[in-house]
Order: sequence, then structure tokens, then C-alpha cells
Amino acid sequence: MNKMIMIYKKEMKSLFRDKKALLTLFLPILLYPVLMIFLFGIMSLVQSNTALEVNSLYVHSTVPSDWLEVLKENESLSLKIGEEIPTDLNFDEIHAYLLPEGEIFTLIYHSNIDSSERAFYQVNKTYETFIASKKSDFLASFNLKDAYDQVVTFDFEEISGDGESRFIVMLVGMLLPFLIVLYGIIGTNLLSSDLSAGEKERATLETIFSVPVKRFEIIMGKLLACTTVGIISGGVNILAIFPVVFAITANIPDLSFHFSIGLMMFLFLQLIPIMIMASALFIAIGMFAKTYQESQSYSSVALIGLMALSYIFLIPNLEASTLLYALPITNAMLLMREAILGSYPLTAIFQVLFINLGVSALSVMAMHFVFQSDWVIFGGDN
Amino acid sequence: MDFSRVMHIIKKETLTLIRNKRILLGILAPLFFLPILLYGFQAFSERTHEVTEATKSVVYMETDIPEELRLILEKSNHIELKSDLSDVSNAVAERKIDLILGHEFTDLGSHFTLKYDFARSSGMRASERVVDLLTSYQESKRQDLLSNAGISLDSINAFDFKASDFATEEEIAGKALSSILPLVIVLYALLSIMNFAVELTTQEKESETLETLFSIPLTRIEMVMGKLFSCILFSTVSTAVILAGLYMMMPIFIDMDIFGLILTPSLLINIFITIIPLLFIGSGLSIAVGMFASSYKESSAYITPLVFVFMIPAYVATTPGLQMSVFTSMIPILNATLLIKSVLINQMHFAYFSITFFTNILFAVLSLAFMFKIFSTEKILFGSGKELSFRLQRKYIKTRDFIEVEDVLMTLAVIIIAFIYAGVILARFLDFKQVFFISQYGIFALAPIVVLLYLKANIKSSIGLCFPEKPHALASGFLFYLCALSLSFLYQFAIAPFVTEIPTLVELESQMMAWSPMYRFFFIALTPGICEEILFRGFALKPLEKRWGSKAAVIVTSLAFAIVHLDFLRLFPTFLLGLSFGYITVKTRSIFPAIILHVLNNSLAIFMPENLILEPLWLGIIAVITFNAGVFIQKRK
Repeated sequence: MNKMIMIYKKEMKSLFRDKKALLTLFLPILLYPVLMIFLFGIMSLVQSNTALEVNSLYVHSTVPSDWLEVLKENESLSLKIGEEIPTDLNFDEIHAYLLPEGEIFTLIYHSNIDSSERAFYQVNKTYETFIASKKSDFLASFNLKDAYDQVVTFDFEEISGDGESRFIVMLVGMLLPFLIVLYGIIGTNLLSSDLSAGEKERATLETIFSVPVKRFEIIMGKLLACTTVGIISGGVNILAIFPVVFAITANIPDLSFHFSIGLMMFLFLQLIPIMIMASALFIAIGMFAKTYQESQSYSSVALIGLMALSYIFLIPNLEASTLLYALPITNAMLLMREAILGSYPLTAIFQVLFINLGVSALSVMAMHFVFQSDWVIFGGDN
Repeated sequence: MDFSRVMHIIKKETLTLIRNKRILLGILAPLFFLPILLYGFQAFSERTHEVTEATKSVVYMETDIPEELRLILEKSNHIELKSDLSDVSNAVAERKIDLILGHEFTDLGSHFTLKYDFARSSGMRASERVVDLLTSYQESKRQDLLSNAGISLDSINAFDFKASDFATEEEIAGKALSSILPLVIVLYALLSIMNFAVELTTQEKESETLETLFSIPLTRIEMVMGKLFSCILFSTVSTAVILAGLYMMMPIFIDMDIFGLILTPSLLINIFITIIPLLFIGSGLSIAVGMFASSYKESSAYITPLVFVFMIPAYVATTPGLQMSVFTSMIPILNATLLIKSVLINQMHFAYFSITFFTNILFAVLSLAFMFKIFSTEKILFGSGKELSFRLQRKYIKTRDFIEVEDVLMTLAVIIIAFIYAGVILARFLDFKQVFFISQYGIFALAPIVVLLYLKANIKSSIGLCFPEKPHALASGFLFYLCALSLSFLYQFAIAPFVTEIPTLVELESQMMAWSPMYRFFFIALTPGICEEILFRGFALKPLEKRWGSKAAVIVTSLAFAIVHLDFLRLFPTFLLGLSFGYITVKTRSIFPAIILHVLNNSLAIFMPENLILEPLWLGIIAVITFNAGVFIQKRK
């Protein structure tokens, strides 16, 4: 055990001596807040533009005058009233056309053109308001308005207590697990090549073998270092996203969500087996390569595979199920999301930990097997 | 330039890249992974849809509900009713219930409350299902009411209205894919370039073959052109492979009837033409950045920020509602991504295409100029790059005049992080003035001075605490500041039609208006004028100037100065003002003129009369005159 820790310390020291590698690792802390602030800036600019935009509408003169008055009152619409029925429709200058079609009035718009689609929403909204007002007047004349409106009513209530702001927690639940896991895997990938092929390239592996340390101890020390880096990478992402989440959530009084120590611990707990799994896999693959560069080539294939598992999590409407809990990486991300939403399903937690630790153990065994083979480490030019 | 020699280099680099497994893997991987990913996405999406459709939503009835509604809910194949749970909150926590339906009688009928988790698909689905049934129940009750009164609503509908979408099914379907496909194509093209660039530059440095190349009768331009064209060649092939892969495999693995998108060869050629200038921009920047690294391992430290530079504009293009405009056509990467999006939905405008194309060509030229500059800088090509001077024990640090560039960059990064984090966290516990004091005096002014002291640098010469030299430089610096100020006002005129007032800023401004003029001068003009100048023109400028030259130093510090203001809309004017402050500091060898200009500038922002009318034409004339006068004075001396 002591020897294993010695190897671990050696690898960690060499990492911390490499300031540029550290910079890559800690870059998100600086980049995420700055980028998110600028992203919010662009989005507010887009929203401002959309709110200010006035969409042009061609209205045929036969449109009933009372509806036409309501349309004119809508400040988001600029009306052009005409007597002709245009045949060559162009949606660049006139965004939508309100034309008679027998007894019916038809709004012709182009849903792929944002301005045209906005014109459609405005006209539709105006029509609904207009009809509701007519209906309301009609019912009021029979003294039935209240009875009609209130015969059956319903409203919605957020069950977790977060109120309307619950969607923010949903966004954090989607974003945070993805960032932690993805950046963690990339972090392990960066270091693993140096720990395996890098050692071979520098020809220092023979030196390590010459000291009285078992191969198992060497490889476990390396694995531990690589796993630590993966967890640090994930942790850095939690820290990086923290100011943005804190700034948003702190301004919403009815939001029950907060970054508690317990939540962070839970996220780390789920991250550990994934990092062991990824580290073991990358180190094992790296052992087949002779140079750092070659190792990166081989591990990029595994990286795509692991990333694909984390992308599954982003499929819309994906809900936790027994099948998904059996899928490594995806399962842990689902549990992280559950924890952010405030739920800790005990059975699923144990099931996922069991599966992920099992797969991690298999990866470690594979890595150990590869490291025992002289043919892999020193042999074959094929 | 001898093109035969350039061709020779291209051949050599092409062979090197073809021999490299990583490169081949990168180019051919999409052909292998696309089917798996496309099929996997389709299969998972379908399976998820099937499972969610088949799963019954569990609805708990908190109270008795009308019998008629109960029968409607019970008949539904998608709803399972429950009414006898001992511990409801526990059942909610364990997700055994998707929705709680509450009911109460009112004077005129019934009121229902639907309680569910707004963040869970299961809750949202249950709500949609119950609302559908509840609406039909509501409609039947209303009809009963009207029938009993002997009236009908049909008489009020004097006319009917319907909407008709002019877009064809193919066009609508194209829109669904248009949100993700442009992002995939642009990112893949740009990120693959980095691989090639690292192989062509860092690899050459690591294997120490760059010296060998320099020893043969070949000019640097020929060598760079050879590397550049090889990089572009491979990135073109790589982009062509992914487009061909999508063209061939999407119809096989994705149900195109659902998306309706028809990927025609002409559409792909259109996308390809849009991408080409991006390949030049990406290649120029990647080759330049790759040259900074001396080993393959080190390259990741330099390439990662570039990845973000490429990714952010591409991701911004997916912002809902963002579309092609003259403004967006002038932002590289963002413009190409939006243009591809418009091509996919058959809404491409030739005007935007032209602006995009020329903007990207312009940026391509700039990135190539940057690449040539880097390649002609001996220090970057063969310099080993210094480590940070920070040591745990100060006694090992040597006394010096200026600190190293690495120390400056690291300190700037830490200061910006501290500024953001302090701003966010302290704002919750302290008021605006206290946070402001900590940020300005503690983080911007004191922190760099502490670093200088710790690293044993000469405070006076590092910060530039000396009387300004060269009076003519003062004059030209002031004129350049006036030019920057005029351009800032012009910029505000240009963006005014697109921007509404930002609520937080309006709130802050109204708070400041309540302060006395002295207070406002102290907080808004004097303090930032001193503290920000100590950091950017004092602490950061000199070491960067010493290593990279004055132009690069002024640009980098101005960029950091603009970023730290954390305001996207004011990025450009702040950058311009930073340039003028940097210029005057470099020329006068003193920080004081920059402090005075900064204080003056902020004072103008506070005390400028609101009814002052500025004419864009006059601002333009002032900008031209002041710039030319500044150049004239500078050249004359």
C-alpha cells in the first residue's frame, strides 16, 4: 500500500510541476463564468430585438371592421390593407397575408421565417382575444358569463416548492452532470497518455521496474493519480458553474434548490466509479502505444465511446428506468440529475453504484492484465 | 515565392499526415461512427418515446372528484387513478405519483388543482394528459349550461379563421434538423483542423525537425504556405468526408419521412462553399497557436482556449430566435453556422451570403497574417517558454525590474476569477459600495501590487510611477483617446435600434443618480480610473511589452480590460478606449496620463448632460480628424 501511495505521489507531483497542464485543467473556472455572461448578453440582445420587432401583415379589405380595429391596436403588427388577392407571395417584406377564402379568412405565413411565424402568433392571439371578447359580451347579455367561465376551472401548482422557477433547476440538472462527467473523462484522457505511453516514450518505465515495487502497485498508483485528476476536473466544473448558478438562484426567493455540501458529495460519489472506469480504460489502451501521440490516437476511439454514453443523457424526455440504470455513465448522470432535482432513490443509487463499480473492477482487471504483459509493454513492432 | 518549393512542402506534409494513424482515424472515423451514432440516436429516441407513451401516468386524487370526471379519467388508457395512499409526500418523493389532482366545489361549479413537478417529463406528461380530459369535461359542462339556457355560441362566430403554413413539409422538416446539423458540421470542420495543425507544427518542433527544414534553401513564407495548404487540404477532405457521410447515411439510419429533409448535392455544395473561408481562418489560427507549444503534450494547453474560441460562436448560433442579419453576418463562425441553417431551411439570402463570405475572407486574411507573424518570430519558434516565477519560499525568488509574461497571465486570470466570484458571492451579503471597494481596491489594485512585491519586482518601474516623457506623445495619445471616444459614441448610435434598456443597468443608474456628484465622481470615475489602470496599464503592460512588443501588449491588455467589464454590448468601445490608454502609457512611459484619461472618460459618462445632442456625422468627422492629427504628431516627432 505504501509503495502504491509512493507511486501515486510521484505521478501527482509530476502533474503539479507541469503548470501548463494545470492551466488546461483549471481553465473552465475562468472561462465558464466569462462565457456565460457574454452568452446572456447575446441572448438578451436577441430577446430585445424580438420584442422590438414589428411584423408586417397584408390584410384584405373584406376583413370585418371590428376585427380590423383589434388588429390595428396590436403594436407588434404593421398593417397594409389592400383590395387585391396577391398570388405571388413573398415573405421578406410582407411577413403574412390575411386573405378571404370563401366564408373563411386564412392567414398565410411561412413557419421557417421567424418574422412570419411571429406575425402568425400575433394574428392568432388577436383573433382569440377578439372571439373571447365577443363570446364574453354574448354570454353577459344572458347573464351567464360567470357561470360559463367558472363551471369548471383549473390551475397548476409546482409540487417541489420551487414554483415557476423550477425550470432553472431542470436546466442545472441537465447541464451540470453533463459538464462534470464529460470534462472529467477528458481530464483523465489527458493524463492517462502521459502515465502510460509517456512513460514508455521517456524510457522511464524500465527504471520504475528496476525498483522493488510490484507491477500491481505501480499500475494502481498510476490509476489512483489518473482518477484523482478526473475527479479534480469534474470538481473544477462544479466550481466554474457555481457563480452563475449562485447568481441566478440567489435572486429567486422561492427556489428551494441550493448547492449543499451533501449534494456536492453525492455528485463526487457518483463521479468516482466513472473516473476509475475511464482511467483504467485509457491507461490500458495507452500501454499499447509507444508514444504520447500514438496513445492519444488509440484513446480517442474509447473517448468517443464514453462520450456517446454521456450524450444519451441529453435525449429529450429521457427518464430513469431499470434499463437506463444498467447503462454505465448514463446511469450515474441520471442519478446526479435526480439529486439536483431533490430526489435520492436509494435502491437505484445502490444498483448504479454496484453496476458502475463492477464495470470499474472489470476495467481495472483489464488494465492490470495489460500491464502484466511484457509483450504489450516492451514488445512487438507489428 | 517559388511555388514548386511550396508544392514540395505540401507533398512532404501530405505524406507525413497520411502516415499518421491518428490523422487517418480522425478523417475516416465519421464513416464508422456516424451510422452508429445516427442509428443509436434514432433507436434510443424511438424507444424512449415508446416507453413514455406506454407508461401510465399515476394520478392521485387528493379529494373526491365529480363522478363524471372520475369515469372519464378511469376510461383513459394513459392514466392510473389512486386514492388510498397513507403517505402521499413519501410517494411523491419516491416518484410513485406523477400528479396530485385536487378538487373543491365553488359557488358556480368545480375548481381543480394539478400539482406536479414542473421539472420532470413524467409530471409534465401527466399534466398534459389530465388537462386534455379536463378540457373536454369543461367543454361538456359548458355545453350543458348553454343547452339548459337554450342558447348556442354558434351565433357569435360571424366568421371563421384558419392559418395556413406556406412552408412545404420538406422545409418545415429541414428546420428541425437545421438546429443541430450546422453546429455538427462547423464544429467538426474546425476541430479537425486543430489535429492537422498540431501535427504540422508542434510535432515538427517536438521531433526537432524544424531546424532541419530551416537549413534547406527554402524561405519561411514558402514553408508556411506549404504547411497551410496541407492543413487546408486535409481539413477540406475531412469536411467532404463528413458531408458525404451525412449524405449517404442519413437516409439509411434516420427516418427521413419524419424530418422530410432532402440533402441534395447542390445543398451540400452550398454548405461546402460556406465552410471554405472558415477552413482558412481555422488553419491560420491553429497553425499559429500550435507553434507556441514545444511538445505534443504542451499543445493541449494552448489548443484548449482555441477550442472554446471556435465552439462559442457556433453554439451561440443555436440560440432560439437568432437569425441572419447584417450584424450576425459579420461575426465569423456564427455567420457560417447561421448561413448553413438558412440553407437547410431554404431561406438563404444572397446579401447575407455575400457579407458572410467577405467577412470570413477578411478574417481569414487576418488569421493568416497572424500566422506569418508568429512564424517569423524566432523567440516563439525556438524559445523554450519560461515557467512561472512563483515559489513557495520567497527566498528563492530573484530581485528583478519586471515580472515574466507567465506571471502576468496567471495573475490576470486569478484576478478576473476573483473579481467574478467576489462580485457574485459578496453581493448577497454586502451592499454595492462595499463590494465595489473590495473589487476595485482589493482585487484590481492591491492584488497586483502584492504579486509584484512577492516576486521582488521594482514597483516604480513595473507600474510606471514616473513623470510622463515626450510631451508630443501626450498630445497624440489624447487625440487617439478622442478618436476612440467618438467611435464609441458612433457604436452606441449603431446598436441603439437593436437594444432596449437592460433592467439591471437602469436600476443601477437610478441608484447612482441619488448620490451626490462627489460620491459619483469618487465611485464611478476616480476609483476605477486608478485601480483598473494599475492592473492593466501598470501591472500587465510592461512585461508583455518587453516580451511581445508594444502593439501586442496594448492589444492583449485592452482585450483583458474589455472582458473584465463583463458587458457584451460594451466590449468593442471598452476595447477601443483600452487601446488609447495603452498607447499613451507605452509612449509616455508613465501610468499617470492613462489614469487621467480614464477618470476623464468615466466623468464624462456620469456628468454629460442628458439633453446633449450628438450628431453621428460630426462624431465621424471628429474621429477622422483626431486620428489623422494623432498620427501626424506621432510621425513628426
